[in-house]
Amino acid sequence: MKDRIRMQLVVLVIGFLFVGTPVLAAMTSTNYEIRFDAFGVGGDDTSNSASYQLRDTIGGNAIDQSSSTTYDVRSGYRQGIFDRVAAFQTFVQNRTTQTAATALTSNTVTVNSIANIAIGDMIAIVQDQGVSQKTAIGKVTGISGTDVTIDSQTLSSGALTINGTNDVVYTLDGTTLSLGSLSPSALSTGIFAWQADGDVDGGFGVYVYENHDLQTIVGSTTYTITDVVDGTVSVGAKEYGARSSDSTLTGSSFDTTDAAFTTSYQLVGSRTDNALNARDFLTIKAAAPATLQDGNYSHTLTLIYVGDY
Amino acid sequence: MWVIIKRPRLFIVVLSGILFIPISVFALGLAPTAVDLSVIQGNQADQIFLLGNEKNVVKTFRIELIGIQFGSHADELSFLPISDDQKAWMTLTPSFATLEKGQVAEIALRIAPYAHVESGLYPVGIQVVEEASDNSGVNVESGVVALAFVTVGNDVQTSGELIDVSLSHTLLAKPITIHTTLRNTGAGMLQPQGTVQIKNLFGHVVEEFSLNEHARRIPPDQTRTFSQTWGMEEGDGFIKHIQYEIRQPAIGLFTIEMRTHFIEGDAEQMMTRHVFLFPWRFTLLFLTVVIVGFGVIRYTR
Repeated sequence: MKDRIRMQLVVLVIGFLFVGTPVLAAMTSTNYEIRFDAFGVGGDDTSNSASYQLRDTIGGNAIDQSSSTTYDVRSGYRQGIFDRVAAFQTFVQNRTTQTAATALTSNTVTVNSIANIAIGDMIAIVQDQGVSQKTAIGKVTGISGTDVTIDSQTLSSGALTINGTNDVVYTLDGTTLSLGSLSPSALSTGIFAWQADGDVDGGFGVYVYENHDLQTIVGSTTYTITDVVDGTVSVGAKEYGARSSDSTLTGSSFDTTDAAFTTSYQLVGSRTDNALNARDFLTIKAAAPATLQDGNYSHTLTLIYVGDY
Repeated sequence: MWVIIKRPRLFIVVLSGILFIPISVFALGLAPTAVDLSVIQGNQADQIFLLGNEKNVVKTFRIELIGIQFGSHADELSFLPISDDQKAWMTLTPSFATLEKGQVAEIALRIAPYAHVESGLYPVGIQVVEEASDNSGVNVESGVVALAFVTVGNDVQTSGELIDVSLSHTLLAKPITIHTTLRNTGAGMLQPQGTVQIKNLFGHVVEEFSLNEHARRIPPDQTRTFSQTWGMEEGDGFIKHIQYEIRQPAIGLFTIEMRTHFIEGDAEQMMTRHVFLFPWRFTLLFLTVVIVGFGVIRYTR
């Protein structure tokens, strides 16, 4: 009996020594990329999803590498040349597609109408539109009845609570961001989003600059909506600015305050490592007093992606 | 005439990459995003960039050269108009490109410094902007900047310094992250190379990393920290760590040896650090099992 117990203990101890989870053959994470891979069979150049891209190759052909002080040839198909490719897309709130949002569960938002929403669209879910606005953006992956599911939420601040009171959804397929009619009793807002896909280790920065202040010209007089200077675009004031959803900016105030656009490049988004489907957005805010000169105010914002080096 | 068109195969691969990017996803693609060009006064250097229109409609792109200034910290950049003097010997063609959906066009950068151009590093950006229509409201343009680090002259001083090697911790368990900080003390761009070797008590190399696997650069007067992790992060939790300690056992004193050089033929700079590893979680569990086991044995007697 004692020998049996001893034997069981020995087996138990040995068992602990060999405890381990199997090493997974498949690599998975929330966001990964296999740059170059060669499969024995199968494979193509186009595999991708919301969270990965894969460039793979059927086998390989005449793969070789030669180099000297003046050249480096990695021959054959396909070699792991580090091709730094950047792709960049912007998305602008389309005010005409506004529909009320009544509930949000996980990544599924319930809307009044799906007439303007299609799978593949980028949308903005806005809680309490206006002064206390919170926003999430994401790409539509499914529509069932009036339930719209997005792939993920990129948030301006904390999680949204959608209860149907002043909560709305817009598609982000506009060409020009309309701020609507400015009112002395309300804050006009708009969403200007981007997605960066950079095969660039070390990440990237996204910068914004304007051609001139938000302005209208009446006769020979130029009227502008003043850039915000106190960190907050306030209802009834003549102020214009924006805040970024990226809260990790260095050397820029767009992450902590309502900041003003200038003709200089200012950082509004960044990543510090290789990123696919990296999304962020600006919440643009405009306020006007009752005395604001009538007119169509406009300017151009240019958003620039710069990869790390 | 000295014409540099680096890595023609790169262009082919990048071209293939851009063409295979799903059109519905991307709007604008540009490659490469960073290049180094060297040219002696009186000669010229050329670089081709590939621009792809990934939208489903015809788009017009504005292409221009802009100046780049480095800040005091890594990755801190500012942008400014390029000087008239530089415009005289740096040219970018074309200045506009109208591309069909999925079409790829070449952008040519030519650097042809006159004899009087001062030797030095001239960082510039190739800015490609998708033009927006001019409507009322906030018009939105998007673009990409590719960086070109142009070195003029063959007398630009290039040198660097290995500042520090630090470890996430020096005792007990993997994974250990090794941070290597380097400084560019010269006037040119640096792409440091080197290795991180981990040796056991007997001097055998048990792990080796490339210091700068992705050929990242350090601008003049800047420092940059490169990080490598010895061992894999496998999540938190006591059990996870115990499993990890069993699968990747490491015990004893290890030496971490960092060797780097900044330019071809330059003398190596080296730093070493020591770390003592002991799988304390597994040991604790093992002792607990043994003690409990003996307790059971004594009880059953």
